[in-house]
Amino acid sequence: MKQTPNIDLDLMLHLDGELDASEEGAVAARLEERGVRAKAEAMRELGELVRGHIELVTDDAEPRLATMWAEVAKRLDNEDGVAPPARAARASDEGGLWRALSGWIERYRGHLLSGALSAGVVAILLRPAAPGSEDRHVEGTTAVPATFVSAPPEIESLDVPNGTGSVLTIEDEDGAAAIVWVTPDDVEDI
Amino acid sequence: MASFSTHHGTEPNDRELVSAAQRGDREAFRALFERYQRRAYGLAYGVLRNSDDAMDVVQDAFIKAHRYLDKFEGTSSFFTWLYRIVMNLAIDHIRKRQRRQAVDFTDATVSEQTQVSEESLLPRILGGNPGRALQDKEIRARIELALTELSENHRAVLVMREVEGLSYEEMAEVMGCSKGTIMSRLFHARRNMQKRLLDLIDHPSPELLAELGQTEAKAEPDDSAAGGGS
Repeated sequence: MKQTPNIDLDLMLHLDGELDASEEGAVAARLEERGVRAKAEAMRELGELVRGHIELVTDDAEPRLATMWAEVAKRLDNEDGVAPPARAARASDEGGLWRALSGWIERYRGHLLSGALSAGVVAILLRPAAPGSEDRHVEGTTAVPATFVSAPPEIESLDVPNGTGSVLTIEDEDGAAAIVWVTPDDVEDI
Repeated sequence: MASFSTHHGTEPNDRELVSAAQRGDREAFRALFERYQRRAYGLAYGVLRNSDDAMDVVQDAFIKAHRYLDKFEGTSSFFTWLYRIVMNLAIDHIRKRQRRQAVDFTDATVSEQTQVSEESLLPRILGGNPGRALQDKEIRARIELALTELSENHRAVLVMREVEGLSYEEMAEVMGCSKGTIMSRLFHARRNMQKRLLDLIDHPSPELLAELGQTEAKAEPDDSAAGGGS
């Protein structure tokens, strides 16, 4: 911590255990002074007051806190689409293959969409460069000359709350299509 | 308490619980919830000063923690990570409701402010018996009011330090700021609490009152100055 001549600050750092060992001695010596000792005591008292007050407030809330898990569990069931183990087993017993598949798709929707979008963009970009694309046709169908993409996709960033967003504008012979892609922030960075 | 336990039959630590919860063990997550809900509530209440709001924030925080648990890599402790979620939700809550009334004391560097706030920490309050004082409803109301008059950032550091005993490093991680900013916020939070609770002193000496008057007169212009430690 920064060295400062201010005894109040040093005292606070001392009491909070944030002083370097080399600085401890000087503050400890000042604690011999009556006024400094009184200040230290006042800081401890304030801490006790705040701690005691918050503890009492939390005690008052205890009955409501005790019932909160039921509400949290209900929301978890509703929100993440993943049933608790017992319910997951029941769903399987009930032949809920489609439900399980839907749940999986729902859970990994972001990954699936991301993959699909990436594949689509790559396909559009590579299409003009594909070898023999002009001559290729299947019997019984009419060959259509390949059309070059008029412009590469335009990618713009988008400000969104709690995440990052991108707008991809892809142009081809049919016109332009805009894709808005939003990625939630990583919670580690919250 | 949830029935989750390790195969050794001992109380599982946070890392074990988080790991199990990441694998989808709801009981493990419940154990984490029960371990930290009181502390999360204390922090949320400390910031929000409203029981209903604090309840909402705690609930939302655990939902969010569960949702993003697979992204928690354990680089920080679980409770620090959870506190960060609680703090962000609490501050979002305040902003959405536009309830913020108190004006932050600046988070300018401590060295600048302490030059004019020397002797700002006051001698003993409440006759040296805070435990007994807390039994008095009026005194609790005064403490509540004093906390309310602090900014949410100052309340947050005060609660994290005094109630949870978090280090400056941990608080900096929770609040996403530097240790210097934490130190500054804590210093001013304590000083302002003591100023606001001065009238609870049993028998303030004339010297003490004179010192406070002098301190306040010198500190106010500096407190209102904009600063940048955040």
